[in-house]
Amino acid sequence: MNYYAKPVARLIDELSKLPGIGPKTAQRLAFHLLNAAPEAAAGLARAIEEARRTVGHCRVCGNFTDEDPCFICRDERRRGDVICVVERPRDVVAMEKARSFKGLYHVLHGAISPMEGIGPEQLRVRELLRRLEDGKVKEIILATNPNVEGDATALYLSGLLKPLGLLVTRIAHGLPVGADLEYADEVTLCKALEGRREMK
Amino acid sequence: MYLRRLSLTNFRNYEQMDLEPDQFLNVIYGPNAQGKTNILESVYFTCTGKSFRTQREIEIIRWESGFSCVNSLLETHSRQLEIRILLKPGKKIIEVNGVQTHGQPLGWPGVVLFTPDDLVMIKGSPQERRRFLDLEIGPFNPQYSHNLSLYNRVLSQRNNLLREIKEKRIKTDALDVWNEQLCRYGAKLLFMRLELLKALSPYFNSIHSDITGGKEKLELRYLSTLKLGGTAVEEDIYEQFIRELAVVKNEEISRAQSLIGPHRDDLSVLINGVDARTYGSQGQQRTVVLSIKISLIMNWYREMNEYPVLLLDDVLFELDHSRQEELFKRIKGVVQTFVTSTGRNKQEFENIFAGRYFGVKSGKIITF
Repeated sequence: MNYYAKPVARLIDELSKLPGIGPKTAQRLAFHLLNAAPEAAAGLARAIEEARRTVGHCRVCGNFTDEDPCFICRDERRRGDVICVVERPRDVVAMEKARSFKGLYHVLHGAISPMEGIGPEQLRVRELLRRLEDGKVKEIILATNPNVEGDATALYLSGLLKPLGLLVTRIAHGLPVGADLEYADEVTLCKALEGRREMK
Repeated sequence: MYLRRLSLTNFRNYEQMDLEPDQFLNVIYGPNAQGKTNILESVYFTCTGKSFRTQREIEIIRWESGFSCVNSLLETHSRQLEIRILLKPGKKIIEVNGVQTHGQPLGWPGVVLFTPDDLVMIKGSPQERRRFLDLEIGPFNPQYSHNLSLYNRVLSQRNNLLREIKEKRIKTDALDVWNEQLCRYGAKLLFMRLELLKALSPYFNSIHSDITGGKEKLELRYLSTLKLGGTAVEEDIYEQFIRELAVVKNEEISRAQSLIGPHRDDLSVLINGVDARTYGSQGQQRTVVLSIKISLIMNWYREMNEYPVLLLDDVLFELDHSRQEELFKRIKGVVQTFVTSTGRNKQEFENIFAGRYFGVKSGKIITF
């Protein structure tokens, strides 16, 4: 690594630790920051520092927030009787963009995966149970990812929550909206067939 | 379905080769290491978009050239397909009638291959027989390989968990959520395997009986680690799987392994009720595999209303004359076939079976 001055090499090293950033992109970003106006780099450094300092997990839902509880949990216009359980904060963003869910969220921060040593104790399950104690919540929507780990997590939660007398639902999977049948892959089509329902 | 034209550029040892195959029988002959199998590989490549010899497709590109290209014209019962596959290091472009496609150019394999390596499905380990099932039966059902990969994923998660439970780091009831998925995907796999074996059995029964002049009765018996007792309903298999998992639970924990399910199953091949692996001769084993391959062709016809192309690599000439003749009775005039041979019995063969004969030497076709 003698191609770079020491601080440059360190910057590239740090950048390439970020997800989705390889050595070449890291180099490009580093050179961009060095070429840009001094305020640009300082602004970025401040933004990172400030975000890290002020943002934590919401003590209610576990989502990232700078105010505790977060703005979703404090919003009184939202329904307090439905909780949508997701794996990651980014899933909350995805759901919010859809703007059709008006209940509350609960972020697990992962899914059950013995290969990575993640069991229910590593997820925010206890926090979820605590939220149910006052009996206000009537429905839990399990919106973990439709893969092996997400399904295992949903199964685990449903085994835990159903005995509490709650309505436990799982989000549907199948055809994307607006797509033609002819463009759907076989596996998706089969899933959609399995999840068919009676016309109302 | 048949290949009307095949043109190779920088494919293995062929710099440029153009071939107009016979609609039915094509014999490619020549000494060893001249490029006979390369032609079969290119036919397979054109139909499936993949090689049967290597995962590293860069090997296909001829030495010191930067790309490889296969152009072909396929005639199906309803239309003509121009398939072009361009291979560059790290890149593959498949075009069907000028439109780029991903995955299989035809949407199904369109080819059945028999090489001496296939004998492992009889001689080899249970693992190799399961591989045979996955590779040959899988393509009949688009769900198969998807379920197989989910099953394998669940399996490795579950085995990790069993290890943790054994070492007392996690409680036993954590298994439940994985059992459900193991049984769900496992039952699907089992169901699909049994369905397809059932669909194939009338074919290979009669084919094998014909090829052996009525002397041999072939039977494929699926040996499951589950006690299925003749059930072939997915829901029943699932229930049985769940029940048996409960029985082996402690043993699974103490051995930290998943002990039952399709990943432990086997297939037994019986000739006249006797295990072909232990008691079958080389020739018998080869005939068994051939019967199974022909039955795959027939089943493809039933599914697709189209015969796949048959590729026989160094296996036909090892059979005796009566078996060869019975085989050709089955496929004559319907299945386009490519056969490789060292040319030892070429003359004899040519007198009996009409077709096109291609002599191959050092990456060139020298006689037509």
